[in-house]
Amino acid sequence: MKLPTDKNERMKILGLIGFGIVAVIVCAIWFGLMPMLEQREKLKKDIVSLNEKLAQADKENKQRGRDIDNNHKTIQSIKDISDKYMIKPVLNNYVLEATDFIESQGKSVGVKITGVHEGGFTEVSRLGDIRNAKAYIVHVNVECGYSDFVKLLHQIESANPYYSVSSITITGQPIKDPRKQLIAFELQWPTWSDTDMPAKLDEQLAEVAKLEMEEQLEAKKPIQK
Amino acid sequence: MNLRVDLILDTERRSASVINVKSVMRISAIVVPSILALIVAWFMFSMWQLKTDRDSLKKALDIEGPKKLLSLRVRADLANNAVVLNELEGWRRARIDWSDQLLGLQKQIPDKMQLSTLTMASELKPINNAPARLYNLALDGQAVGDTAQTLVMQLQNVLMQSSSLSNCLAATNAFKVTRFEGPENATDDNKNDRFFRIECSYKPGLF
Repeated sequence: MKLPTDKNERMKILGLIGFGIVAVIVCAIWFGLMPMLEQREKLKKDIVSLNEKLAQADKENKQRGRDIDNNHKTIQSIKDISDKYMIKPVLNNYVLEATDFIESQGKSVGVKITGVHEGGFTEVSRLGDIRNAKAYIVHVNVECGYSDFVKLLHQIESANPYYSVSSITITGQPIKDPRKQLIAFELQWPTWSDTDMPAKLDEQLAEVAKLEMEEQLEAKKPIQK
Repeated sequence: MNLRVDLILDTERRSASVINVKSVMRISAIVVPSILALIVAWFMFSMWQLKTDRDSLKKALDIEGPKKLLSLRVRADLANNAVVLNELEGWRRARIDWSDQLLGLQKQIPDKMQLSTLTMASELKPINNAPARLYNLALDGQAVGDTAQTLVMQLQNVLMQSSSLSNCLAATNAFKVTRFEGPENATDDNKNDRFFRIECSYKPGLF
């Protein structure tokens, strides 16, 4: 096909061709290139975001082994305190264990315990953020010399660093027996607010041991690429 | 006078230049589409590469994601258990060993003085939103004779200076005489005797 010989006609046709080319280019940019560029940007953003998430996950996962180890130690410490020093109910009864303990301590220092009475529990709500443990209160009466009482207290306080002596009243008996005083004291014993806590600690320990084993197995696995 | 006769027709004219529009158009007709095709190919390849990268990252995250959740759960458990342990340790921190305090008091009481009652009371109270044990001690007794007042003052000073007690006291002048009076039906024999009460507060035992 030849272009017309007439200059004006030729210019018109060339103009039309030029316009057509420009239109095709604009359409190609508008409907082809722009969406593809947008998609490319979205892909880049996705990759950056995924990389960040992966780095974060990697960081968390690297810390997990240490966290499991620390958690194991923490639960074991709680369990040790719970087993050794916290009073637990036997058939919903606390006072029997408390009485046994106080009488055995009295016997070991030669002080006769004249009475052990249950005093209930402290109001946990008054303590603000103390939620897991509450205080079981025991009132104890003895009649002995001051020095013997000091020995008894020392014995009780040495046996359990978590007890607290919350009140003491020592009254002299100058007429009846000046060598012996009437002594009443109150002992606060930590106990779990949730009586199922010891069982829950055992469950947690078992779970942590399982996690530790899984971690060890994973550490032995060859790295997959 | 020169006469120029042009025997070449317009259609027969040729440019003397190496580059002419036609050749540029011909070369462009091959080169431009080729460059465009290369750009498109490079673009498509980079898109494919980005998609591949994204998919492999997604797969890696599918594996690491649940592990991260486990890690977060383990950390939350650790934080909860640390709170419980700290709470239990608070019981130990908040207490005062009263056997040591009573022994310290016994050593400081002069022979001429007779204590009738010793009372220690405590309460659980929040201090700056932290739970605490507050201890108060009261000593009731009788000092006999002309030197009763001096004896009580001496006792107060000695108690304040006692190293075994002062470590636990709320202030250096924690021991205060809150009662100092003679007998109700005084006779010549006991008119100088004095009943006294000395009280003190201990440092709060913070849980």
